[in-house]
Amino acid sequence: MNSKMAKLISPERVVELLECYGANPEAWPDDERTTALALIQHSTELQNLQREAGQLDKFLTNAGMQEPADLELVSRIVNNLPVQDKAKNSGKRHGSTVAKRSLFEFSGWTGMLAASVAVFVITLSITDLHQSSSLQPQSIESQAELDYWMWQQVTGEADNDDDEEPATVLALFGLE
Amino acid sequence: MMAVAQGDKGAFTEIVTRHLTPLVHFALRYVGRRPDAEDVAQEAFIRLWNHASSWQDQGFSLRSWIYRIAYNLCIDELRKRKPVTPVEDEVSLTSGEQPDAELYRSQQQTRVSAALGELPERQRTALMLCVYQGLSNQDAAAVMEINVEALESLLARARRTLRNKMVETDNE
Repeated sequence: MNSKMAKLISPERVVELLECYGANPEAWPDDERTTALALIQHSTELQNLQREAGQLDKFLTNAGMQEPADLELVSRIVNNLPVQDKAKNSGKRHGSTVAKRSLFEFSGWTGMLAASVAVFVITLSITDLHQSSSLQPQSIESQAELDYWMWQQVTGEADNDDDEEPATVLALFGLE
Repeated sequence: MMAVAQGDKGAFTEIVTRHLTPLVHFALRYVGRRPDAEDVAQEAFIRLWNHASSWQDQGFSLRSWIYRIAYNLCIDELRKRKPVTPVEDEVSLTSGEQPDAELYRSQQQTRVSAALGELPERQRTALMLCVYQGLSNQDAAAVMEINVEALESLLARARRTLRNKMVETDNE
């Protein structure tokens, strides 16, 4: 893989690699490793620099020796996790899924209830409209007349000038 | 990570087990005290747990993402403190009966730890990410939000400073 990715570099670049990443070729960038090793192999000066860099690596490695994983701390972290914010977590990647699920959940018994209420309200409205329509005088011919009739229905005003309907409730029941 | 995003604690535990120790050591270099370093690591993992689904959107490897979180937490912690707490020696030289080789190694560790603690913060971070945490140069640069050339410059200066310090100490 490295030979395929190998990048041509100069001896100066090898010096830089040693100064930056140290003597261990594993620490060098993948695409420069093969060429750098080949250049070091043919240069005593570079070999000396690699040896010097290796001494510092040794110091650093010794200083960085790590104790084994603290299993108690692992348990403490895992056992004290907050409740994961599923909405936040799934929002970006699974937003549509969440939306679909919500719709599905809404279409359960709550959906049925909402639909029933909606049907009831619509039925009432249609009945009321039908009744209103039946009360509409047949003699209305113009828009102005229709508007006036509507005004009367809304405000309760009655135009009793030329009709014979009783003016009061008592009159309505023949008690006046 | 997909499993973690779905609330899989088993998958999360695997990630914690794999990354906890180096992460605590990484944080220790900044915050100085082990309990504080453990707190930083714990907070970093909690954030990982809470934001698992946005990991891929960031364009980092998982490891560099964890270190980026921890690094920012460490910097926040250091900003709260004035002055900065010196790095605690990780080596205890309590026994006077240690074999010479072990004693020598312990002394070297102490010296290098002290020298690392004296490095400028950015140089130390670059070195820790590449040497101790084994991040690739690109991942380390991503954690520090710099380009690879800048990272290499920090690494070279850090190593030069350390080398000079080690030579100075040897000559004393």
